[in-house]
Amino acid sequence: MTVVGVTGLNSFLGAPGMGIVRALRLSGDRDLRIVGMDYSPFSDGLFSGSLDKAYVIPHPRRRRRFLERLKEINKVEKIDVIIPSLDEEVVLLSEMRDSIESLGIRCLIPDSRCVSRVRDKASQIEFMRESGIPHPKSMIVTASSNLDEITRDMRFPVLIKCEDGAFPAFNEEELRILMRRLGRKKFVVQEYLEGDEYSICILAHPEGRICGHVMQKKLAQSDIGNTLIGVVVDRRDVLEISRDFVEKLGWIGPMELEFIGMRELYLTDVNLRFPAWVSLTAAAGVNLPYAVVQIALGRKYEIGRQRTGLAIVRAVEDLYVDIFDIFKYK
Amino acid sequence: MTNQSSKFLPRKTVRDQIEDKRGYLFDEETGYVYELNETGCKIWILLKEGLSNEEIVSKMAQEYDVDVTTLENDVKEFLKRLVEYGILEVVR
Repeated sequence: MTVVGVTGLNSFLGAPGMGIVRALRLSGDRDLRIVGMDYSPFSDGLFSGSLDKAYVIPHPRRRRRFLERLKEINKVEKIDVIIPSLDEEVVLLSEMRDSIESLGIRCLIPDSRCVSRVRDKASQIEFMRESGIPHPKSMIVTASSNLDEITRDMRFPVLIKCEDGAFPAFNEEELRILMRRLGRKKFVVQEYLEGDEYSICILAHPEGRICGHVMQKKLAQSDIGNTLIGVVVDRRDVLEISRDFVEKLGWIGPMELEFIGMRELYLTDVNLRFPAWVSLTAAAGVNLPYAVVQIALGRKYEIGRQRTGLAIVRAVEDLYVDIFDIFKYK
Repeated sequence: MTNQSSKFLPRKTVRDQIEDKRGYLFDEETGYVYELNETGCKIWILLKEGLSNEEIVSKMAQEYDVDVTTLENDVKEFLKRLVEYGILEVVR
């Protein structure tokens, strides 16, 4: 029996946990016990029926409590591998790696030094600059930065990127309002480029190379930029830039990279975990969540090649639950 | 760039689905999907059989009641576009 802990079960909010669970189930491995963990007692994944067991855990911001709760759960479940689904959990687990491993839990993530180089949007831009990774023209600014300086060098529309997401500004006034509202120490103002959009889900082996990937072209998106329909493609430059990024960074584990452009592509976003559409990797013949489990446990595992032309249509499924079960995790 | 005896072949990254009166081409590199009309489908099938530009025009002329010069121009324009889109490559 292999016990796998999966976090981030709120599909409605775009967390990838249930996509990971689906991929693990698609592996057909009946020897897997999947333990779900989420910080909200009302996350849809808790009620999905796809988990062998579910627990509510503290938000990763509550560091000490998070580790204590994980220890409690581990006493009962004896988790072999944990797959974190939120960027903040990846940051935290990388800092607590020794404590987690001392519990006998394996986790495919890099050390905290590596994670800190890309832990927020501003550090990601700094890393791309240092490493010569093509990206849209960007400025790292603070709330007290000189607006004239920004508008002199950047062309509107721009995107303001921070932990809370990406917000467009079409002119100087909108930018001023956004900057005042966010009032953050550090964020990124980036020129908005038009073009085709691609995202790639990769798995970096502890040896420091990409050992599996699935890439999609976004065919339809929602107003706020979530992919509604995508199709598996095989664009060489997407993989080349991703390889360059991962190898220069020394990343280990899952990651999602997003690109925009026409003939030339630019890296626009980096997520330190599996994307919400991760179940597509299993459907396309490259089951990356299952590969994480096998590699983390030091088992030999042959990762296949992606099947191009397979499209994904994102959907939300409603669940019907007895009223008393709703409060089961409260 | 091309002449009447030029031969074109679909690039390996292109997949097709050809029906009676319409068809689709999917470029697995870029993710673009192209729709073909009935005539486009016919030309595409002949291309896949390995026929040259000239041979395609000659085959089409047997089927369509249209003067050869118009047909030559239309086929040439169609093939030129597919080359531009990266769907076809010129093999000679």
